[in-house]
Amino acid sequence: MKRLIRGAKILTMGPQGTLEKGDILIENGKIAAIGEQLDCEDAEVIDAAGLTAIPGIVDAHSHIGGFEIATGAQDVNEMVRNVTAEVEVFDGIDPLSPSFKEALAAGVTCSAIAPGSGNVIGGVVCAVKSAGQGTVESMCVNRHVALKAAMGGNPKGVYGKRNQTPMTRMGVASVLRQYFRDVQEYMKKQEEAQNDPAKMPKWDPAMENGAKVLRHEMPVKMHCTQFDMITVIELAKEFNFEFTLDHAWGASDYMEPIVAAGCPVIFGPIAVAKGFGESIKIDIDSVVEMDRRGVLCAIMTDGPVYHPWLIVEQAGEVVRYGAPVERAIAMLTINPAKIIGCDQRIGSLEAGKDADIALFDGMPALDPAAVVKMTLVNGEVVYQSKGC
Amino acid sequence: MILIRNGQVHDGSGQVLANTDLLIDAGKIVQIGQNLKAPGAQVIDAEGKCVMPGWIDPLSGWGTAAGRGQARDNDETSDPLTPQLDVVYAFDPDSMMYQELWGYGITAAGVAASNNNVLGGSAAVFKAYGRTTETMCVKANAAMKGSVDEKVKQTYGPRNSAPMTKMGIFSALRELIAKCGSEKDEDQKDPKVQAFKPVLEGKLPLILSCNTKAEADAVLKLFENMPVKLVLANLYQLNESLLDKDCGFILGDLTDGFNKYNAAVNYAALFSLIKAGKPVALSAFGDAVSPGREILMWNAHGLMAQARRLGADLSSEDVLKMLTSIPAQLLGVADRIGSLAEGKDADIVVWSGNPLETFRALPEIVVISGEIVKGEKA
Repeated sequence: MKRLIRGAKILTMGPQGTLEKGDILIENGKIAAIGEQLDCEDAEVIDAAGLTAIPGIVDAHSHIGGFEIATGAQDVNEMVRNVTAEVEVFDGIDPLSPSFKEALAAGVTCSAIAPGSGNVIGGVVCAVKSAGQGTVESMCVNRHVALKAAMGGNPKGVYGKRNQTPMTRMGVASVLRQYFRDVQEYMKKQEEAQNDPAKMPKWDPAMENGAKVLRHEMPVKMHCTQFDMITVIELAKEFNFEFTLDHAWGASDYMEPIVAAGCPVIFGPIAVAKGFGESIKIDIDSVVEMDRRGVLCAIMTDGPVYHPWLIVEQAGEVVRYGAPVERAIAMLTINPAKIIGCDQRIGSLEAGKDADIALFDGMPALDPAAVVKMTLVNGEVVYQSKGC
Repeated sequence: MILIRNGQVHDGSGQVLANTDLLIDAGKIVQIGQNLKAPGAQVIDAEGKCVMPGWIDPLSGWGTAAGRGQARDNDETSDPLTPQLDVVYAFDPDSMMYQELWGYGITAAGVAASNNNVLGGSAAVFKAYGRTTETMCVKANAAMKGSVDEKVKQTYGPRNSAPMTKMGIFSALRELIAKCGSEKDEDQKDPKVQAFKPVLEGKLPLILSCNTKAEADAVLKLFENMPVKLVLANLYQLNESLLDKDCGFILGDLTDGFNKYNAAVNYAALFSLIKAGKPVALSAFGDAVSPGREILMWNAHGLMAQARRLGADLSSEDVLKMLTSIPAQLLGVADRIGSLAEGKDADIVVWSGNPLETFRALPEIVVISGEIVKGEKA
């Protein structure tokens, strides 16, 4: 099956840059070619004149498919203990959740679904496309994106009320420290056993996931804001793990340490009333500065907190505070794809990559009335708006 | 005096005036025109900029309940029927100021009780900037605020107290209406009756939150043949049958993902209401407790994107009206705020671009009640 998207303005977010008027040839679910006036007689043609094509949007921090608004069901917060590093969100996602359809209508084609943030270590994050064959497996791009952890108010709120640790930020840090010490111990025992099954420690999935982190096979996805970010940076140094700063409200007050840490930042969601403590500063303008200084930045919806279209709205806010539009689009596409370890397949429009494409009427993140006309996942048209 | 010179003036009632000056004195707009002369006035050069009335968020908890973890002083859920309460006593000027709403173009808000009571009390209109409740208040007792939506049932039902159902909600309202019509002295001295009678006499608008069409229908049925000035709020499930109803509308927040209704708005019907000239205002709160100041603008953007999707005719001036003159009209404060005209309060935002047409738009200068609160100080 071949498809040809014809005559769109194309922001490839890859080596081909921006084409003012170009074509995208799709073959077997992949992008076969991008260029001007491509010829392909046997392709189904999608007339995209006047539309803007960008790579399918990647939401690097979401919980859709795990929380269901209509029923109140939640399957991603296994808060029975403050550390549940053994659970995988892969097992908690409803592939038929209406949230995925809503995501497609907003051009969001892939989301990193995070467990938590009720406990300190919530489990393993997985990246899924918004369309598949009705199973999580068919939607999954990366089953082990990161180990999710949460600082601050969320775990404090859950365990403090139970008179359990962590009741304070000191408690959160000590729970994390203890976990990684246990993992180090576990890894040491494994090494000393030298493959002798009799000497091997009992197989422990929570420790195995921590070992992946300490072997740099996956980062820790840290829910953190304000000065919790500094605690994260210090813990990462202590145990030598990679991490992302998720939410990151107040980043403008911690600019130097964040830049020095070299970690990615997944910012948002904003538009929360200013409060105290964690919500004393909700500064999306900090993203402009972080991006300028080389921090790999992405924007999140924290779905289902906000509807999926708000990811583009927030990218628009980054533009409002001074970022070039192309940088804001990168924060919706190639940057999050890199952060969640999926950029070999998605995040930019390049020959050989998955044909996940959002076609907008209007320039997203610049024109506030820009709206998705069509979304493709693996080369299939999975959303089409009225009048298209 | 302040002279805002040479801006592109969007007056909030649909007009756009090129290269126009606004002269402000003693908190009011005293003159609008070209090449105005005002010796001694502080001059703000607005050439190439977009001058708009400050926006009004018509139905909010600003100043009373905003901010996570803060007391919700607009949420007196000890009794589902509290028309006698006045939100003025819930208002905290510092809490309002802390949000810096003007940073997203908002200069005033309708402040009201939560959606948890059938009747929550009287709503008021406040400026976003000021020092005291008194000076910030544009109008106290601007409307009666109530709710027939599920929040009421969710508040009282789990206590095994009425109203647990929609029947219970409307029974409570009917009983109060009957009391208002009663001749008995004890009824006439009831503060609830005294607070609600002006609503039934059409002297005080009644703003009722209803998420569904069924809730709206029941409200319209209850008050049919009464001279009640109805404003239906939130109303995600609207349809064309509302075209011949004589009421105002405040569309609820479209951004909150935890709202069960706002992803399925019948936009085609909404655009026909707007086109038919029905007063439809945008708002930010819905059922959410503490949205941010960005939400009102985001709702405007969302609405425009839906119009583009459906090919509906909705200009940015139409949307500006939904943020300015229409909410002012619904709250009965159009004589003071919501448009740029001589004699009106000087609540003015000078934007670097049109915020309804581009994200490259910052509120560079904000004037509230004639005072520059953001931008060049005198």
